[in-house]
Amino acid sequence: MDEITLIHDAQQGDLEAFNRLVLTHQDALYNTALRILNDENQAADATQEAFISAFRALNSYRGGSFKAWLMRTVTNACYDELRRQKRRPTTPLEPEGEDGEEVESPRWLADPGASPEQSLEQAEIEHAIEHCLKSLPTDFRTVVVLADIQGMDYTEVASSLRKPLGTVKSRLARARMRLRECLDGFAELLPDMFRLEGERGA
Amino acid sequence: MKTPSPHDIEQLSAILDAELSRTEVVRLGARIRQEPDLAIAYQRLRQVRTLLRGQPHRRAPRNFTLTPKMTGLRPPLPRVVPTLSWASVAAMLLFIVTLGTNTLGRFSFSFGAAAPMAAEAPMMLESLPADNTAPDTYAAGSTDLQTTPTPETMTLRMPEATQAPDMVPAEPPALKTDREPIDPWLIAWPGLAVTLLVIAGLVRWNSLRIFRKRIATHK
Repeated sequence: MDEITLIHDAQQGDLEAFNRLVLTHQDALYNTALRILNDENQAADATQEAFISAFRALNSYRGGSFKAWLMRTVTNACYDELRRQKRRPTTPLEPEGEDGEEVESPRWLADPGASPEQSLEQAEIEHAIEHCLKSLPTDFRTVVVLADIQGMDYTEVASSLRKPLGTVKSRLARARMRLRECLDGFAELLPDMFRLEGERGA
Repeated sequence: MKTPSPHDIEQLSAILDAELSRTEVVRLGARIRQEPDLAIAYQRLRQVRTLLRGQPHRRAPRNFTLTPKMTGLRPPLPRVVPTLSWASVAAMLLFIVTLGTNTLGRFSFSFGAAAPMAAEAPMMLESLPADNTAPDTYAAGSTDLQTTPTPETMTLRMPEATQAPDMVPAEPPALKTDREPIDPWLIAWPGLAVTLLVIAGLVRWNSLRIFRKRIATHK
C-alpha cells in the first residue's frame, strides 16, 4: 500500500495504517531528535510525542511532503523539550571525567562491522560533530540537521520549519561555516580527505 | 586571506545543494576559478557537508507505533464533519423557519376558526324561547315545591329572568361540527422529516463525491 493511501486511511481514524507510516519514518524522526537534543532518552520521548501529535493533527495535513510534515512535528517536540530544559535544568547522572566532561557511554557508538581502530575513529568524529552541533544556536542546528543529516532539500526544510526559503538558505550557509570553524579544532580527528592542502601533514 | 562576503557564502552553500539557477552556477563557477579565497571557502563548506552527510543513521531504539490508549481513543475527525456541521446549521435554520411558519399558520387558523362561531351566535339567540322562560333546572326545582308559583316566589326563583329579560345565557352550548380541526403539526412534521431526509441524502452524496474525487487524485 502506498503512502498516500495509508495517510488517507489514517485520516479516517485507521490506527493500523498510521502505525505503518510510523514504522517507515521512525528512524528519520528519531535521528533528527537525537541530533537536536543530543540525548537518547529525550530523543525517544520527543519522537513518541511527535507521532502522537501527528496522529491527532493528521487532518491538518494538506498534501506535500509527508516526511517534511512529520519533521515539523518532531522539531516542535524538540523545541518544547529544549524550552522545558531551560525552565528546569537537570543534572545528568553520567559521571564526569577528569576534564569535567561527561563520560560518554560508548554502547550506542559501537559498530560491529568495523575494526576497533575504525570504531574509535568514527566515534571520535561523531563526538566532535555532536560537540560542534551542540554549540550552534537551535535554529541553525535544526536547519543543518534537516538539510545535511536528513538530506532534505531546501523546500522541504522550509516547509518543516515554516520559514521562508531565503531564511533556510542563509541559516544553512552560516551554520555550515560555524561548524567548519568548530571542526577545525578537531582537525587531527578528521580524515585526510577532509583537510585542505595546506592542512595535510601539519 | 580575504573572507568571502555573507552573500558569497550563501551562494557557495547553495551551489553544493544544487539550489542555484543555471546562470548563477555559471557565474559563481567562473568566480571560484578566478578567486582563490572563494575556492577555499567552497572547499571548506563542501567538506563539512560531506562529513555531515556521511554520518551513520541510527536505528530507532524501539518501535514508536501508537496504541488506542496513547491516542486517547479519539481518532481524527473524518473530513465530512465540517460538511455535516454545515448541514446541521442548514437543518436547524430550516427547522426554525418551518416552526415559525407553522406557528404563524396556527395563529391565523385560530382566528379563522373564531369567525364562524361568532357568526352563529345570533342564531343561538334566536333559538332561545321568546318569553324568556326559566331553564329546565329552575323548572325542575319548582316542581319540588308542589305549589303554584306566586309572583313573589317567581321573583325569588328567577331573579335573572325578571330583571334581565334580554340576557344571553352565560355559557352557550359548545358547537358540534362534523369536521375535527386539523392540527397544523400533523402537516408540518412529515414535511420536516422529508426535508431532513433530502438534506441528509444531499450531504451523503456530496461526501461520497468528494471522497471519490480524492481517491482519484491520489491514484
